[in-house]
This record gives sequence, structure tokens and C-alpha cells, in this order.
Amino acid sequence: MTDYSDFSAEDFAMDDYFIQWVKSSADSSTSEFWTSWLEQYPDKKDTIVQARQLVFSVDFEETFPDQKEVQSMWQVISDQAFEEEILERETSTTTIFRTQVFKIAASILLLVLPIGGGLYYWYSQQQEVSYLTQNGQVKAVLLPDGSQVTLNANSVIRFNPSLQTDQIREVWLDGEAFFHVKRTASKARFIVHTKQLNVEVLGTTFNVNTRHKKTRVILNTGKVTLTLSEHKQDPPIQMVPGDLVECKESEKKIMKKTVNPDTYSSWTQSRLVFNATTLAEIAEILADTQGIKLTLQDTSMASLQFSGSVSANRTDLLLLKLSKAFRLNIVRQPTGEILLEKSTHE
Amino acid sequence: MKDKRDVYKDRILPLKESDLSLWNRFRSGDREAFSTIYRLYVSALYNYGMKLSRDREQVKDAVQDLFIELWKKHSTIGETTNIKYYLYKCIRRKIIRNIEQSAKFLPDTGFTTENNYNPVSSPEDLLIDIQSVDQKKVYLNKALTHLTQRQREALFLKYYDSLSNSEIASLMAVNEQSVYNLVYQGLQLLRKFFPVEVLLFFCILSF
Repeated sequence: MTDYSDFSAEDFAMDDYFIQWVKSSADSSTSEFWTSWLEQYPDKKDTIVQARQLVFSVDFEETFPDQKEVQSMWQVISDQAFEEEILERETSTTTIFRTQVFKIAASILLLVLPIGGGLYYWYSQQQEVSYLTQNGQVKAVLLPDGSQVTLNANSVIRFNPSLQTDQIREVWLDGEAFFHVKRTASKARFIVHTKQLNVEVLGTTFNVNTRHKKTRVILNTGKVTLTLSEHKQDPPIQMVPGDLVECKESEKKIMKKTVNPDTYSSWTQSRLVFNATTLAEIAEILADTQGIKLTLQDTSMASLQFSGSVSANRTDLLLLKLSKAFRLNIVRQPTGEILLEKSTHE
Repeated sequence: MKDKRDVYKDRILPLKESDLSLWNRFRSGDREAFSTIYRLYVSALYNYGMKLSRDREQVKDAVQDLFIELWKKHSTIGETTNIKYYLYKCIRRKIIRNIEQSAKFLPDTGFTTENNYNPVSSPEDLLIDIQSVDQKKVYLNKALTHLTQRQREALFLKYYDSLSNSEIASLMAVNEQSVYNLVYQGLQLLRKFFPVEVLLFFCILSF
């Protein structure tokens, strides 16, 4: 048995036998030992008190994930662990026979088989895919890596269909889209290219709008890094959730502010949400997404601010709300344009 | 009579599966064993991870990556009789590498490894601390923030997880003497922060 007579408080506190006793996980013989030891060395009482206190003081705060986090983490794990297993099997056969000849041969072979995956694989290597939306149209696009893109009206997104989870994932956007990027185990980068900048992420949700010779990025969750297309040497811009960054084609300057990101992605829920939005901006949004040409009678109306929301396919209701809020008349022109003019009567 | 009941008990109650057997089932590609390991250890790994980094997302990422990698390598992984210890080793390596990497890539933000290693209570934390009813715990947790990251980690592994000194040594990639020193110095520092009232409190409680 250890000789405890020269022990300091720290020595005691580090002794496993002593810790057992203090943490009351000790059996009766351990407790008996320490009680009788104390009787034998009564002058050590102070040291023992301090040692006990030391053991108690090493009391760590516990940080456990909640049930929801445990679930969502498992979702990510099982998705990626089991899914990539299947992917690996598929790609390992294609990498062995990389030659073009084999690819063609394989695709012919697979045509005979019920699944045309080989053909698709070969074909997709050659072609770029693009999705395009019309006035008032919102399209959900699922990328090959599992990331989700919601494409707003009058927008185009292009990408290579061989986009994989283990390499840099790149898409090109003109218009507006909301991204829900899937994180991958290999931490593959995901880059949205626009005319003005590159938005680089690992896995996150954000909105990109490239209309009117400017690119506007609003980050909902996660982290993204921006680099300017024309000034690659400039330090990258880091964004945190709630940040809005706007970059105009004509200016080198970048505007950054904090906003409620949900306002900017509300269109994905088929709603138009305005929060102190000016009439000029509303007119712009209607032109961009609905192809509605709204003209304001005079420039003083442009800065009127409107807050409220409306279903995206009820622009008639929005116009009605605007006319009531600002006492305006809605005049539908024969050209299809809509003119907002100040009401003359009270 | 008593003996009979014990035999009966053994027969009907499923014995807790040993780490070795659970691990081997996982290594042979059993998904159920894999998810069991996750359920058994996710909280402990998360808790330990939060002692190494204060960034919740970083810890979550590390736990996810760890399990994804485990499954991908399951057929080539070695045996273990102590799953928790094995996983602790993996998560530690991951988080420390992440911290070092982010420090390397963001040199201008003032984000240093040391900052991340030494989370200090914010004024809000302290306020909450003061308002908390459990005065004893308040003071204890505050004292712990005065230790270095490595001292704190060694103490956590020894007192919270009851790992042996040799296990702690190999986990933290140092020798046993260093573990001893870390713990000893940590305790010495803690003792400096004992206020008199707490001493009294313990005197009354202890005996």
C-alpha cells in the first residue's frame, strides 16, 4: 500500500484510490481504509480537506448535443457514409477503364441492360447543363452532388453534370437563385460564379442575385468567402449569417450590411416580402421576376417605402395594397405597362 | 435459492456487449453496430470536443467527419477493446488539426491557436454565473478557466473520464511524467483560487 504520510493535497487529489473515496464510488473497504488512516494521522485532516476540495473543484461543465442535433448529425453521417459507398463502387469501375473506347462500349452495353447509367455518365462528361426560367417561374434544381438550388424567375444556371462531391463544385449564375449547398465528407468547395464575384462555400444556405449589373449575396446560414472576379488579388471577404454584400460592375467598392436574410429568400416560398422597400425597388423586382413593367408618375414616388408581404402570383393584390397605402391610381396602359399615378381626389 | 436466481438472471438479461465484439461487428460492415457506436458515444465525443474548441459547429463537423471516415475505412481499421478511448484519439486529432488549419488560413483575423484553446468566460457568462444558485459550482468553473488548455484537458480526462495516466499520455501524445506535471500544476493553480468561504463550506460538508 502506498505510504501516504508525506502526501501533499495535490498528491492525494491525484491518487486514484483517494479519488475513488471522494467520488463516493468506493466500496466499503476503501472508505474504511481512509477513515482509519485519518484516525492514525489526525494532523493531516487539513490536507485531506483540501485534497477532497481539489477533486471536487475539477468539475467540468457538460456540453451535450440535444436530441435534434444527434438526429441531424446522424442524418449527415448516414447519408454520406452509405451514399458514397455506392458512388465509390460505381466510379471504381469507370476509373479502371478510362479510355474513350471503353466508355462508348460500356454505354452501348448498358443500353442493353435495364439501366442507362453508363450512357448518362459518358454523355454527361461532354455536355454542360443549364436551367432557365421565364417570367414568374420558380424552378427547383437538384445538383448531382445533392445540393439544392431554387432558381428565381428570368434566371439561368449552368453547371457540368459530372459535378462530383470529391472535387471543386462550380456553377455559373445569371439572375437570382437560392442555394442550399450540401456539405461533403471530403470538404469539397462549392463556387458560384457571377460576373462580378465568386461565392465560395463548404455547405450553407444563401441567396445570390446578379441582376442590374451587380451581384448581391445574402447569407442565411454557415460561412461563405467572396472573391472579386476582376480583383483576385484583393483579400477575400468573409460573410456571416445575416450579411448582405453587394458588388456593382461599375464600381470597385463593395457594400456590406446586416439584414434579415429571410426577407431576401422569401421568394423561394413563393412570397414577396417587403421590409421598408422603396417603390423603385419593388418596380425592379416586379420587372425582374414577373416581367411587369411598372412606371412611376414622378420621381418623388420612387423613395416611398412599403412593408408587407403578398403571395408571389398575386401581383394584382400587391398593386392594390400599394395604391391604398400611398393613395395611387393604377392605370393599365395599352402597351401592357402599368402606370402608378398620384390620386387627385382625397 | 439465491444461486438459482443469479443463474436465471444471467440467462434472460442480455449481457452488455463488450467493446471488442461491438467493434468487430462494425468492422465487418454491420450498419446496426455502427449506429450503436454512434448513439453510445456521440454525447461523450461532443462533450470532449467542446473542451478542445468552443466552436459548436466545428465540433459537430469533426464528429460527423469522424464517423463518415470510420465507416469508409471500416474494413481496414484495427481492433480495439476500448472504443471510447479510440474515438477520443480520433476526435482530438481532428479538432486540433482543424484549429491549426484555420489559424494558418486566416492569419489576419487575429484568430490564433492559443485564443481558441483558451476560452475565457465572456462578461455575460460571468453574469449568468453570478446569478446561478449553485455558488459552489460557479466558483469552480471559473477557477478552471485560469488553467492552460493542456492542464484543463489533462484534468478533464483524469477526473471526468477517469482515464489512467498512461492512457492520457498516449492520447495527448506526451509522456506520463508530463501528464503528471500537467495535473499537478493544474491542481496547484486551482488551490490558489480557493476562497476562504469555500474552504469552510467543505469543512462542514466533508465530515
